[in-house]
Amino acid sequence: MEILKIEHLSKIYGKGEFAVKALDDISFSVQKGDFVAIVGPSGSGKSTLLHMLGGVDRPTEGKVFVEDTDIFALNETQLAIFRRRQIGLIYQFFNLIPILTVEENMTLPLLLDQQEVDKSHLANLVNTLDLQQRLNYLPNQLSGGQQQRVSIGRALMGNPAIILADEPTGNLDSMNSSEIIDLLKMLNKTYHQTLIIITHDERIALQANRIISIEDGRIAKDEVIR
Amino acid sequence: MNIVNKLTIRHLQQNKRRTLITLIGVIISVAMVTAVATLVFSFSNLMIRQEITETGEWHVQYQNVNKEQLAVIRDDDRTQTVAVTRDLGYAPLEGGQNPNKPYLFIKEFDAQGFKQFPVELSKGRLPQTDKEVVISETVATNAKVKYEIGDRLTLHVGERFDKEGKHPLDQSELLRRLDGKLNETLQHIKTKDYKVVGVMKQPVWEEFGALSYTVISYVDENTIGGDNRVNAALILQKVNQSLIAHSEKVAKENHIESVQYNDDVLHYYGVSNSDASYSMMFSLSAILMGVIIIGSVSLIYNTFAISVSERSRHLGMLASVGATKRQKRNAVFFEGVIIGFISIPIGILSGLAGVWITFLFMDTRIQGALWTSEKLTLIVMPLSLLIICVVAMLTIFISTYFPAIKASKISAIDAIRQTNDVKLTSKVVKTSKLIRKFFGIEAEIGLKNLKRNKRRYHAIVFSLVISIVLFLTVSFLTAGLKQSLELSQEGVNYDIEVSYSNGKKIDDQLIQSITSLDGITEYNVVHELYKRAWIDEVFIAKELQEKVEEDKSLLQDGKYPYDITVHALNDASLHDYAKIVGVDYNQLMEPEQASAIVMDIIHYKDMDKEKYVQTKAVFMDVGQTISVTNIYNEEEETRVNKVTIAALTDQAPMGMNPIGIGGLNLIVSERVVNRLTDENEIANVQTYLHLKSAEPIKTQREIEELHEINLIVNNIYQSRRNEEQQIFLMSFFSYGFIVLISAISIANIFNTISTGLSLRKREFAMLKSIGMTPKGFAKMLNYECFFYGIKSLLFGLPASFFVMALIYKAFTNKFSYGFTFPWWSIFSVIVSVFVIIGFAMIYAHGKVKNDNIIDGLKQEDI
Repeated sequence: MEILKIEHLSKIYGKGEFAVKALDDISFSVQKGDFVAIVGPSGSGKSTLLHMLGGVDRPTEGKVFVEDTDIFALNETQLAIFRRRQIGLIYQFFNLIPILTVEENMTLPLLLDQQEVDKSHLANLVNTLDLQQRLNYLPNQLSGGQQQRVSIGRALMGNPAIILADEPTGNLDSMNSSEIIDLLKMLNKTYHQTLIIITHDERIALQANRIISIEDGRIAKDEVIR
Repeated sequence: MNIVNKLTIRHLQQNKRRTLITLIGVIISVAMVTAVATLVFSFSNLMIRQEITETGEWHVQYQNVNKEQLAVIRDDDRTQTVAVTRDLGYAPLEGGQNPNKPYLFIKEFDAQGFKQFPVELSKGRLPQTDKEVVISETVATNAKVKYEIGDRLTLHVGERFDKEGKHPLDQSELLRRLDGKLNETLQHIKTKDYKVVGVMKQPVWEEFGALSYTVISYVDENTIGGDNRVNAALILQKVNQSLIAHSEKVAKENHIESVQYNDDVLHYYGVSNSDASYSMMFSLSAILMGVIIIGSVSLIYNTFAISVSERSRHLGMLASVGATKRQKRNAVFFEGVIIGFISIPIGILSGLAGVWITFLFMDTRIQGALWTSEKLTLIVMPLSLLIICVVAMLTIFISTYFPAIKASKISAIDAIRQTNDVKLTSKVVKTSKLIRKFFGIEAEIGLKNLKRNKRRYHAIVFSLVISIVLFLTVSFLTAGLKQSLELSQEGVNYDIEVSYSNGKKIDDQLIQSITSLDGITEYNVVHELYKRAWIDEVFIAKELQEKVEEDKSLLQDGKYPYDITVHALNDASLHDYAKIVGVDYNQLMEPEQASAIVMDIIHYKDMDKEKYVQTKAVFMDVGQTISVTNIYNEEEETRVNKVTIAALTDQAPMGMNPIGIGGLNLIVSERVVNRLTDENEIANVQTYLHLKSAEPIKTQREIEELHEINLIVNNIYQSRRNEEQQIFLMSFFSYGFIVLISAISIANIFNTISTGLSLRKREFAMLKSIGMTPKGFAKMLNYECFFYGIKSLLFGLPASFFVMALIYKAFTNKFSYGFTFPWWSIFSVIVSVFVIIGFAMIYAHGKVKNDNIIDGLKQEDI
């Protein structure tokens, strides 16, 4: 099943002389349950692409369909609601809310959506992420790896259609990195969770099912590796 | 310049907005204090000059001193100059046309006296010997007696005595008359020959109901013999509170019987002779000054503290490259020095400029409000400016001291890692579960945000609390001043009262001719009649009930005798008054069923406790009746008239005198009073005519020129105007001050909130990226604003009530009235708090709303 479809996506920053083409007519689609790695050198446009997919930035041209919804046809409010229900974002710098506890950070998308928190789902996730002892801690009381696990938990809490991870291990040491990647892989396998990950680390990319290489805003290579 | 200071300057230059806000905060505070001080000095100076032109320049006057005593006074260290004066006495004015002013009053001044007292020549020259005089030009204009310069006159000068009098009557005693004829004589007569050498304008002391015209001669100190006594009016070297004790001491040591103080002038120097009013003035000024100083100091402190706390990262970086604690601390102090160096002079200059501009535009209006003829000039006291500089420097020093200590402790890693949140624990940001339940997650995030940065949170709440306290305090103070004025001036809401000294009724013709004079803006005619009423014990005033408890014999058949004063207003005045009270005019006009408006709230001066009291005179309701009887014949209180209460009020009609406990004012129509009055009583009905005039002095002169015998013209506008001036000045300062301090608070709040929000840009982006809608975002900010407001009110209102209670206590030294909450002010405070925070939020929100999520996410916190 096609869960994500991108059509002729372009993004230009600035105007006239100073215009920079970050994305240049990109099209591809992702099947449900896929694990895609997007790789490329710095400045190739991969982060820009991820932001488009997550609906946090708008393209200059082109469309993005998530489960057949044209997300840029939505208004601000609808887009925000779309984000909290369909997209799980994981960042390099975790971006947890420092004043909320681990549990609150994890359940934040649901709370914003005024949904009941599914206790068993939460317990399950917490177990999987090994955060049982840390539920009432604030982010600054956790290690980097733990913080990243919280942000993964937050991304997963609402059962999103897609999880987008932007250099999720960029801020972690190698041990924590492999832990996080193993976790993501496990999620992809066990829960059939669609996963798109941006990285410039080849070892991580090689864990994915499919690698899309981006150079100068264009798809340079798109290969299914398993 | 060392590298740390260089860096500090560069830091200030880079954070232009922050630096500017700090500068402006200090500038406004300094300007405000400068302005207040300058205003106080300028107004006092104006009022002093005004008083001097009216009553002469002197501080203390020793009366009836002989030559030796005079010499001692002159040699006293504190004496600057001594004017010798003497009141010789009265002489009949031959041919005078004004029966109410049958005398000349002869004063003598020495050369210094003519300098100190306001004698303004219109013709000729001042007297130089005791054989020469100047006369008031009113002798010609009012009494129609023509004297030319060079004329000689022989005066028989003596003291006034009435028929049975043992003591001479002084200038404040009315003319004694019997059946229209003068019933007083002059005694101890000395005959004096004078030559008229000049004519002077009417002196101020002659304006108000004097019964004589002024003639001034010369007194030569050298001619004062052993038994001759004069008055010595002194200008002192220094005017301060100790002058009273000192003068009393001089008087006592030298056996001088009487010392007078020029209170009108002295109280503008802050010197007061009356203990009660001194302690009130003192506590009030102390409270006001306290509030002013706390207000500006705390605002400077706040502005500064925020600036320093935002520099913590910069300081941490210094630490990381090896700056010592001392260097970090000095960096902060140096910032204080730079800020002070720039802002204090600008503050002082702009404060002065502000006052100068105010004077420029307000001069005529202030003069009008204060009834002064003198011009308002800007008085700058170098000493006060110096004090302001020192206070501002100290404030900045204190404001930098604590942040500097804190800054010196910032370690490199703290600052570089990530700021304040490092020490955050879940306990600090704990919120009640109810918040989420009732207001949603946005509210909870909002509240947690407030709690995470205590410094910022406290700064905003504190700014608001200060503004709330200031506003409420000042409005309470002004209301209190107004109320105390009303208490002390109860019923004195007129300029001139006209009545006959022999109780004669003023006839319609005279009323007509007086009220048609130019400048009369309002008048009423009141007929007064005294009655008695026996009122049931259950209805009488609390104070009386206490008295009755102690002494049951005060009652008769369970009733207490009230002294009733019946005031009958003429129809037109009654009509207006009924409208104010809110009662049907026609009901009052009904002669068959007598109805009256009853003043159930009374104000009086408690003589034992020396203060003004407000209380309920009687506990009765509309529709009940009061049985009014005759008091002139104790034996037979036969003629009983029932008067129905048409309305109860605390509004006095123009000219009603205050009455004490056990008295009651009834206001009725002329028709009703005619019915209540029996034939024997008609003679006891006293009539008063109360006038408001645009030009009270001119009106008084014109009434006097009607030359109606026994007519008393009581002009009270001057005493009223003094109190009004004080209230005007008080409100002028207070409200100006509120405006300024609120301006600082608002600037501070705007700045704090908007820096707070911009520091959280990344978090906002985060919240948005995980799906917080614009509406939810706005909701979160609104709740933050709401919590700020609630918190400020939670502290601000009780604090204000506390200060109000202090003020109330200060007032009760002199006045006693019920403590009333300024509900309207409280309401407007609540509204304004939310408006101010709301605007700050909208402003800040507008700045972050359209921020790109990506940019926000990328923004480095460090």
